[in-house]
Amino acid sequence: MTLTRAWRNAPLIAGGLIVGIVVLTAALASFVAPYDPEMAVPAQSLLPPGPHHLLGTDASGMDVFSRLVFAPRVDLLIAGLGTLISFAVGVPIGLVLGYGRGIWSDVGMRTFDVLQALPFFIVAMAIVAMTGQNTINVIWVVALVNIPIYVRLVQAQVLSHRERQYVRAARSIGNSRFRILWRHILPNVVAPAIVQTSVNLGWAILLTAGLSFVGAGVRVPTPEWGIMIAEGAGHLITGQWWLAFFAGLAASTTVFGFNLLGNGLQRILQR
Amino acid sequence: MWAALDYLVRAIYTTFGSLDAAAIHPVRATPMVIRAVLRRLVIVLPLTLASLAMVFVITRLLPGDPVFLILGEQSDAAQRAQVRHQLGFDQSLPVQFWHFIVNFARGDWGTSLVTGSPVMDDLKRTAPSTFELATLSMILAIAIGITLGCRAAVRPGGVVDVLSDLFSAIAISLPTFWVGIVAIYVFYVQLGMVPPPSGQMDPSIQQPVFRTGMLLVDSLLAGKLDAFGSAFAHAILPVATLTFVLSAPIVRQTRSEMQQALASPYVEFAELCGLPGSTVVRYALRNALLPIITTIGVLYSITLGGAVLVETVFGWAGLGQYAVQAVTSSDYFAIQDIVLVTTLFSVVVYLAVDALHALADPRIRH
Amino acid sequence: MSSAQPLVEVRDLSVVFPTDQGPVRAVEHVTCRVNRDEIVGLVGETGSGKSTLGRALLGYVRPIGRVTGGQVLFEGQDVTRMSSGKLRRWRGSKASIIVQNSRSALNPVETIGSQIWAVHKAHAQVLQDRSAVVEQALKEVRIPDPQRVARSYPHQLSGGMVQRVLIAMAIVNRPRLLIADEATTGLDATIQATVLDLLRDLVTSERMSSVVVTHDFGVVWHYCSRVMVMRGGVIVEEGPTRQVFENPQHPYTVQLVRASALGSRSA
Repeated sequence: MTLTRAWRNAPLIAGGLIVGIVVLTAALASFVAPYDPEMAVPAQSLLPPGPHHLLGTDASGMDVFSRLVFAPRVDLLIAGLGTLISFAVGVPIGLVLGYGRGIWSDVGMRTFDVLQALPFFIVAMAIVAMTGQNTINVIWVVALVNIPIYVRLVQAQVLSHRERQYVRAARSIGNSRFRILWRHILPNVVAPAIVQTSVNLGWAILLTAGLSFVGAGVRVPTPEWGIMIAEGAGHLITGQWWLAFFAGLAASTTVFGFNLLGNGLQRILQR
Repeated sequence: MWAALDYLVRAIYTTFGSLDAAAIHPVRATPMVIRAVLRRLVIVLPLTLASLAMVFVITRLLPGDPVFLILGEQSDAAQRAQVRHQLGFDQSLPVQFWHFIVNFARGDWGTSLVTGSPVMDDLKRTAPSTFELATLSMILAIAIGITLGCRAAVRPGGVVDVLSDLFSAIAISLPTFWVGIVAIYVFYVQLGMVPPPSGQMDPSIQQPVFRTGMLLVDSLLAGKLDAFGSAFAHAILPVATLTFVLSAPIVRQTRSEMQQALASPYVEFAELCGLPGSTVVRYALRNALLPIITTIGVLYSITLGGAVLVETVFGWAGLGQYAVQAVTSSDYFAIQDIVLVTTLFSVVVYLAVDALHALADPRIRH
Repeated sequence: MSSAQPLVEVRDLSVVFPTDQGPVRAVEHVTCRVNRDEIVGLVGETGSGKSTLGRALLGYVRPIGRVTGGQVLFEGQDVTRMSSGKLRRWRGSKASIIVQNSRSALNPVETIGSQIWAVHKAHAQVLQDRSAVVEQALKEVRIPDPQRVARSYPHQLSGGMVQRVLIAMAIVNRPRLLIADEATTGLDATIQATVLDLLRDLVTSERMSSVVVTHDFGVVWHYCSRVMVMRGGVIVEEGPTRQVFENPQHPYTVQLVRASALGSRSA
């Protein structure tokens, strides 16, 4: 994985750049934002983009640009933690299911096959409704929904590597199953899992935004892309497009960045 | 009890689960086709139970008191205790689960706290609209996605390839609801090409008699063309939005599978035999479609989620909008039943598509 | 040893493949011929360019290859410069090929019958009755129970059977030239012999010519009247089989002959 090869990898650079900018923005939001993102100034509500408010203001007079700059904190936090948890839970399950033999292992595999067919958005909404609308619960929901993805990915990888020569060789000289998993199979599994993680981060952001949009995610007035779009939707007909537009643009660009990054990572890690 | 479950699972599995013809069991004489379909049918019952269990866990066992949600924050302990007893929440878990299953089977699905009517009636009223939206969008997305993906793979580097690659890469990054909102702004607010996004039909036009619940179908059945026209116009943007979002993953997968198929030895051999180009593409497509069929089964769950978002944006009175309303007003029974119905439906669709795949692939069939 | 016009004449042909490590010259300035009514062996090891040359006789240089010089004259027409439409009509009707990995050469989701029919339909001037054509083709390659086989899928047949199906597809339109590209490599010895016998019988009875591409000199000895030895993209020696075998001139040929099973048995 030389530096020169990475340099020629356009998706990796572009994706990394986008993601990097977003993360930096989130981290340095307090310095970048000209206004307090939750400071309502009713007198200045619904102003179009202009010199004082780069991207305009919303119905409560909050500066759109400032909210936009603070929003990635919430979305990235939720997406990041949620994906991390699902990775930590899903990968071991996938390893066990993929390597095990016998009926229960089979049943487990088919269960996760079917699990991916569940209407995850509706289930996510229901769980948040039942447990309460706060950030922690949204994180748990994002984690839960993404677990089957990792399980199936890892399980498929393990299955394909399990019967290969080097694993059989290791088995024949008496390596324990655990040792084989750890030293031989896991390194090969990690690469596609990492690629998947980048893509999953993007999906997690879309899920979070979607949940918040319908009112089953993060609470108002937290600056969050989905919420901003929801607030902006009502004003669209009266012509105030800037509320919803920029938030969606920011979210889309971020997710696109994660997808590109995943693409780029795939080129390096999977030959 | 676990031993009994273990025995049951093993019995089902050894009877229908193994494709390995070397195993000896009494149903070996049954043709593979029947077995493939039966295997999926047999799984329906345990999956139904599992879905019920999942919903039960979500609605009763998660932290968060359902009674609290039902009565609201102003209730006192006595009121809550009474309701808890009324609903049977004070009984032991297995008993609760049993009542849960029995009620579901009986059709007693509770009453909506918001609409006041039985949830089942609400679902009957709203589900067809969502079905209409989702099915139209999926059909269009499949048609567009497969056509574009195929074309892109057959002419790599061509206009279709580059554009569809770009389009699908961007489209899978966009939030569905935002696409709808942008579409509304461009096509309604600015261009005035479509009616306002306020529901399925112009309220001034009389709605047709409720037959299937799908406005487009019902207005045609009743012969009311003005209603049909209005419903059609109102459906354009929602369907277009959902189609746009759904077609992206289909394009990508079709392109990838076709590329693989076109690089395979049988395609090369077909060319060496001098078969016409259209036949060669057809050969490749028939092979590429098999994994795509499975993906479409999974795509259905994404469609349902997308439908929720699209319905909210366009004021489409379907199951999605009902679900959002239920969630935001903590309509306990409605939430429970919506999750149950959509889960069961998704599982059935998935199994059906899976069976279709098995039937379509001669390697599995014979 | 006919002095009449050869069926195929290769003049100074060169084929290049672009690779990550630079262009590979698979065939370099090769001149040779295939006469009518003869079975020629094209022998060499992996990477010698024999498969490339064999396919070049069909005007096919694989998606990434390029002809950088020379001609391949098939009955006087240069297949390397033919339009793609004409070339498509050429392949499968004037000249056809049988490949090594037969099972993967067939479409797994179509029946044997429909695939044989597709080859016939692509080239026939007049379409005959489908089941008659398919059954006839399968009978010619001595496949028992042709009706059942026609309804079967590739994965249901044994390796030897699939190879015969490939032969059936290759001869259904009565081509002038049949190229067997490592057609029996990988098959059991007995099946190999059966398939090659079948091939020989068909070729001689239908007055076709055949090029047998192989790395096995034993195959050449038993089935080819003439042999061309190839190495590194160049034909190093050629001549009547017996003569080349008993009196190899080029050192590489000597090695090949010795390495083959026959070499250890010869006096």
